[in-house]
Amino acid sequence: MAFFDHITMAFAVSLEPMNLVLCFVGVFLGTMVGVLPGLGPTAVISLLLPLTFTMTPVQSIIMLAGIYYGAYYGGSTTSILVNIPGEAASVITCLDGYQMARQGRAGPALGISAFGSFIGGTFAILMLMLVAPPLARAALRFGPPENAALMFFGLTMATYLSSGSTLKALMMMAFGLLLGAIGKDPVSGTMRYTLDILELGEGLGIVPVVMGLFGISEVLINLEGKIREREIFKTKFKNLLPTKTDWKEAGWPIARGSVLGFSLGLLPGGGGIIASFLSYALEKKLSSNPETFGKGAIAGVAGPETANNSGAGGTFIPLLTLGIPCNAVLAMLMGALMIHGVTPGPLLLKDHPHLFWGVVGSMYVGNILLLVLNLPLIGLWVQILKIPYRYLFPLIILFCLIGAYSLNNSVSDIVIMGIFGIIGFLLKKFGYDAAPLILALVLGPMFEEAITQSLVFSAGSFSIFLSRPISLVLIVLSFVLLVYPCILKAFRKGRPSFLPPQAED
Amino acid sequence: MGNVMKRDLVTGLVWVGVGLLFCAGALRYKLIHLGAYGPGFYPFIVACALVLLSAALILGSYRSREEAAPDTSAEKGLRKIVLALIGLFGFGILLPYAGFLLTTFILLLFLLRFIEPVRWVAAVFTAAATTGVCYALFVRWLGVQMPRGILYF
Repeated sequence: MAFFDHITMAFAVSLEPMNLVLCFVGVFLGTMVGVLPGLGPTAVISLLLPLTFTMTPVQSIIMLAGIYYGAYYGGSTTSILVNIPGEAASVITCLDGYQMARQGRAGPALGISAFGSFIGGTFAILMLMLVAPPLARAALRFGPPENAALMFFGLTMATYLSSGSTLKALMMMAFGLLLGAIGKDPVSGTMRYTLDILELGEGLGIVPVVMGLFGISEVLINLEGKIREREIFKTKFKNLLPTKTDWKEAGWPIARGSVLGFSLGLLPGGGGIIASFLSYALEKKLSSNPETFGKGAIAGVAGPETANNSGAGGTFIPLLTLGIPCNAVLAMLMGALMIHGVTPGPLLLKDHPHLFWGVVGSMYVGNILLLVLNLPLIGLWVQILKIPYRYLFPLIILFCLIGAYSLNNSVSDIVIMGIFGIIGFLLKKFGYDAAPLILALVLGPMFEEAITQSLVFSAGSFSIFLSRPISLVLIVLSFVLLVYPCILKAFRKGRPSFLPPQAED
Repeated sequence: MGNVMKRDLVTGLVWVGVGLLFCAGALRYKLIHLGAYGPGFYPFIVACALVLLSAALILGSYRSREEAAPDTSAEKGLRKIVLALIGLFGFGILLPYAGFLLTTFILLLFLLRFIEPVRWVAAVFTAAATTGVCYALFVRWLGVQMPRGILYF
């Protein structure tokens, strides 16, 4: 049975001592940055990138992936204890988690979110094992027109699911595609938009742009506003283990959250944040006493926390099988793999089975580590929360600077990061979501190449995208997605939004 | 005139400008080359899309009646941002000359002391300790190549 061979390989790789250590380092650091508001996984991954240069690709992605899903675990801790989401995906956990803490039930709230996260994460990994191989096999048969259509669909989906106005998201996507066109043209080698700057010849690096847009701009936003004093809930954490009644109330939300999170994780632009919001809305709707939501309902913690971890696992499928990173952190992971000469995509599973199954196995191991790690270490996380921001932000800036410089040992990456820090700050201020921009920047060059190849194939006729069934379906779906919000808008006033209003606070 | 409307109008105009710049660039790189699509073709199409989308945003801003939340940012916030950016770009300028140790120490001291002021003693101590740890971790242990600059290290 191939399935069992894969499991054996997954654990053989992930239980190698060095990999185990790195997995631990990853989830530990991930939880820590998840706990610290203002220090996101992007900053930490960029900091650790130079460290991965001396590792094998398997080791580096095991550690970096650990940071990614570890951050989701950590994010819930701050939501519950201080009503500050450490991670965007934990915003919704504040609603009921903090209320539970105020009622003296911080223990069960933390406990159920750790167990829910574990169950959701495990479910996603099992599904990943089942779904990824056939998907990668199918994607291997894709030619340039299918690939172009698939990327178009991915980009559309990302704009559709982005927060805020769809129109602005589309503009961000176009801007990202244009930024992706900077550098050598894939066909003729013409230098485009380089302004005669030598360093731009190879195009804008993904990593400094992401660090600027998500790391530096976050610091600038925080500095501009008034820095909130964090008031930590003084409570003894006894009874971390949820009671039987808690389990009864949380069981179905966890089950539903697992499935919902995973499904949304598959979509570009989906993943943890939307999954947690939708899970909350769903649980509130299905609950027999919805009035308890917002007043400390354990289902309102269990569902979303499960969904965001399950979603984080699901996002690995498009990355590892199709080469489409669903969000900024995964774009960084993709950048890291490409530095090692490994391109995520349908060929990954065939060419680097060790890497693929090793990561999957390590995610399982990481989930167990997180469960073991999180509950006893909550006291430590609370201490870390007490680090004032005025000490924290210089460190974040320094880490980003070291990370950016060490990419190519060149100051130009620092300049790029700084410029995109400013751009990211302005985008946030004026209500633009930078996520579609990143996706477009990553996919842009591949998208252009696929289009160009298709057009060479068809002697310049665009009908090639409509005459092949798979690409036709993907393109029709994309247009439906694009037009659907407009139709909704015509019928209903106000902007159509996938997300419920921000945490109703 | 609602705030959102004004902001969308202004940012929309900026984006039209950005789109037109990319359009102009694309025209220089030839849309059609040797009977096939040239290097300027793809960016031209995308830049046109950006211009059209921005135009739609501008038009929409006239119809929008939403009121924006009042802008609470004060000048003080702007001052901090500018200082942080000076630190960031200053690090890049200074690094090749002054080397990793000195530049890092100066950056940290500057950020700690002048943005959200920490007491001098604490600032000097934190900056020195952090610089030392970073040096040991990144340069010595992980072997990241950092400029040595005027100091021997």
